[in-house]
Amino acid sequence: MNAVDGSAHVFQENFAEELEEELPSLLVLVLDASPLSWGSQSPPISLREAVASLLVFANSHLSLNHSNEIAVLAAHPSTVRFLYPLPPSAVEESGSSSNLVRDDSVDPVIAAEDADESNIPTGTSMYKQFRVVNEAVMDQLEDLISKTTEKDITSKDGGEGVSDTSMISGALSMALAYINRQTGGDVPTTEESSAIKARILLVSVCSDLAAQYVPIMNCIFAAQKMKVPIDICKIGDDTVFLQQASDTTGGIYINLDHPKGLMQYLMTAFLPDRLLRKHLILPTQSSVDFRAACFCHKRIVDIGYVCNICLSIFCEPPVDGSCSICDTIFDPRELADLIKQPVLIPLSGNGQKKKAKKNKTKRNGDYDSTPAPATPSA
Amino acid sequence: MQAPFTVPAQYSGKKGVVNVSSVKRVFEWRPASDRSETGDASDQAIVIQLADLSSLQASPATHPKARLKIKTKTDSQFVFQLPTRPNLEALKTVLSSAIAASQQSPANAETGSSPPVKNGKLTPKPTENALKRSMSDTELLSNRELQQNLLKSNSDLQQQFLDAVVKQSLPAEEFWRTRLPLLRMHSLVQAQNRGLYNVLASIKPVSTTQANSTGTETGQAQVKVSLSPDKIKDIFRQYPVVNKAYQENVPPLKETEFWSRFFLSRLCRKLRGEKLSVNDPVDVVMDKYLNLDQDGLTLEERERENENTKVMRFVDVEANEEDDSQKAGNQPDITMRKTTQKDALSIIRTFNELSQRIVDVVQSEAEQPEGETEKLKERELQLQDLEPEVAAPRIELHLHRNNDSGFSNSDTHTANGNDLSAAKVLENVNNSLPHGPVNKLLTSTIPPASTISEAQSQVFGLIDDRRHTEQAKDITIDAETPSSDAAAIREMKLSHATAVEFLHHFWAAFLSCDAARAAGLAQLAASVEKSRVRLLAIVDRYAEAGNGVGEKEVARVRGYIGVTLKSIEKACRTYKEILKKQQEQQSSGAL
Repeated sequence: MNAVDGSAHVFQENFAEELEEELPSLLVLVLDASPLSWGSQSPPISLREAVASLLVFANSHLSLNHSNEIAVLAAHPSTVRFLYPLPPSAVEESGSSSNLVRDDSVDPVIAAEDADESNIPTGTSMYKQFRVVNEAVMDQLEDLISKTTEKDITSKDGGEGVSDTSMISGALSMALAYINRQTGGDVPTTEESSAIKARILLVSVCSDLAAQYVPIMNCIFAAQKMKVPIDICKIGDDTVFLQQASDTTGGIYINLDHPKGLMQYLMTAFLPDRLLRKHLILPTQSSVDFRAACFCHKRIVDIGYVCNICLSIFCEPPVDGSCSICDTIFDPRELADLIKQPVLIPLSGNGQKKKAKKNKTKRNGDYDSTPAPATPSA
Repeated sequence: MQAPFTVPAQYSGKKGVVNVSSVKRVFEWRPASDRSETGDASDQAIVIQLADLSSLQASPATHPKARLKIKTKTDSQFVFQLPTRPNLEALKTVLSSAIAASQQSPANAETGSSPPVKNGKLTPKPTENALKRSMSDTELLSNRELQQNLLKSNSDLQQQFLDAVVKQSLPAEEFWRTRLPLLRMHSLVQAQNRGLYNVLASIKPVSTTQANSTGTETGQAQVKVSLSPDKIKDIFRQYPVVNKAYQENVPPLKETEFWSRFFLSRLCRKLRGEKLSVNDPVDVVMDKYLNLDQDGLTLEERERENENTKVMRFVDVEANEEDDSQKAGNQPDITMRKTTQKDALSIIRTFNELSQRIVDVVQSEAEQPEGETEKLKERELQLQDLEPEVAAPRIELHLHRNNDSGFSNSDTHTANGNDLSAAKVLENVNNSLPHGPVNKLLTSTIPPASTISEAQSQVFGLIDDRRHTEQAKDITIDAETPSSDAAAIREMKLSHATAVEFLHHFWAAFLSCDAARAAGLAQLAASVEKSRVRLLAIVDRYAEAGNGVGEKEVARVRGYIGVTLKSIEKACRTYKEILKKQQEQQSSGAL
């Protein structure tokens, strides 16, 4: 009787949600718009090509599933801005340049005939969703860059050089907040809830983020809690903390050997969404640089000192005997232990090592590199 | 397990009787006359704990009077006069053996062996001594026996020990110094004893049709029971009534006969808790003990004992009998009835009693002082819902996070090298902005095919690497790996472990900044250097062996070893630098 029963073809409720591949996903693209890197004499890839590849990538993401969503942010040395979707205030500002950004229901062909002040050639038919995103991104990016003054990008301490660091930590925070809003807030339910799944892709060109260690680590932990993978597409030199970001959150980190082929990288490595990744071997870099930055000078350290109360990292033992972050006073004998020099030649009668109980500072571990074969435990 | 020893003796002129009881572990002297005159101290009995005795002295054999002087640990002494010399000798032997026995038991507990069997009662084991035994680091380090034992039980550790200590001359003390937790845990595990359990339930008669049986014999069916001396000891401990029967009957009966009769008798069935029907064989000897309870006491004796135990008022049924609703009504439930004959419920009662004893033994080991338990019980019984909420005391941490807002102020000159001015940079960027119609832009910026394939191959290379790592995690040395490979892998693992071991000890000694260890430090540095050479040699040998091992494999292995080599080199380098500096200091200071 079962073979004859034809009820299998009947569309059941929640059918779509039950199929994993049908769940929508949200991609948040963070573009590092640091003018110095893009505006150098010979950047690894020109901004034009990079933006084009990113737009193709964004379009293909949207085409995978009807309910997929996308958001684009730009991180700039002085600000972070949403390129898409536009906040209401920005829509009014740019209302004159392109009606299509604001008005979804207008038929593209008719609107194209009307909007003769815009640059869009008539007669081209691009899928409306794609066009909306593409144009918003390009317009906003142009707006952002062209309005950058020299003051914005010089280093803050008054030096001559141009500042390379963009507000990556700010961009990550905004992305996470946006994701939190879109996925319905802090819902402590299981993974199978039909909320939209989100991930972040960061295209980064600047190399030094040591000054932003603490905020970036906070963002990483927040993303880990929210189960949002952070993928990093790195152009140029390796950045210290971004490897940790992708490693902790389960994302993909690739340092492009051939930046001109950015489009190819994006389409092969970064396109699969969260659900699909469970079944794939991820093309992420195996070695992770786990070094941290010290809290006092923002220097990168691999062996350092950690306060055992507030867990803040220092590169040298505190001079005044107390932690500068949480104000705990350390045992002076323990501090003396840490400072004293090793004795290699047998002298007569040197200090003994004392074991004090309270507020011991400990040493940080070494930095972990290529995974070595398992060692039998000592 | 001696019977109490009595002998008449005189103490300060009064006639009396000396009683040495190894059960109660006391030495007693009671005056012969019970009429004690008004509070005269010398008429009272003298009770000395055997544990308190420190020494005995006897008057020489030629002396007409046989006197025995007993000294206690608290430096008081008693002089007893005994009627005859042989009496004196006998008392002396008894006392000295008793003293030896009481001194033995704390020593026994220290080495962790099972406690001596006490006659008749399930008394708590002398584990206080065992717990007080110091687990200090120095003791563990010097306890060779414990270390040997641990090595024997853990073959991995043994291999490491052989390699490091025997072959590479790492001092054994260093080896154990980093493994103190292991030693401590092992000694704790050794000190554990098996707990009590229901012995009779574990003895199962096996029926066999063989002609010869060492156990019981009945008319036709032959039933075999295996009894080890340990089991017999446990039976005596748990069922003192059996012990009593044994003591009183064995000289006439043979042992085997006793046990055979016991296991067939009604007594055994009663102790197991099975119902006694009329069909069970009647055994004249054993049935005498049917009426006694497990401890071997009669009902009257049991009552007397029960009088002395305190019952908590909360659960005291007898004291609460006035409130008993069942008193004048129906007969209480079968579990609540007071029957002298233990019939259907005997199994329940047996188990309850047995469990109670086992719990008592354990509880007495972990007992708190009397007052504490009462207070604890009261506190737990109190209802606390209506109490005002007490906030948990927390220490607030105030973090100074000013540093965070001040970022991007350090020097951020890039590796760009071009060092362009800000204006030029902006110009460049504005030029490279995408303009124009979107679709034209997108179609015109497709990268060339060669770049695409290069990018593709990088991605696939990464995937490949990952796959290898995933697979490599599951590599174990099983029967399928070619033997040369397996040997090589094992050797590499071992030498790696040894190298790590030496590094560990080196850094521990180095960073302790302890002048006393400076000599050992030099030796450790030399060993670290040696292990580096060793590692390199092994990898070279592996590479040369070939065996169809490709270049990539060898490169990968070198990569793995390279990590260890890097840390070894760092250690050697640091040591040499500091050594040079200190030598210079010393020579300049000496000048």
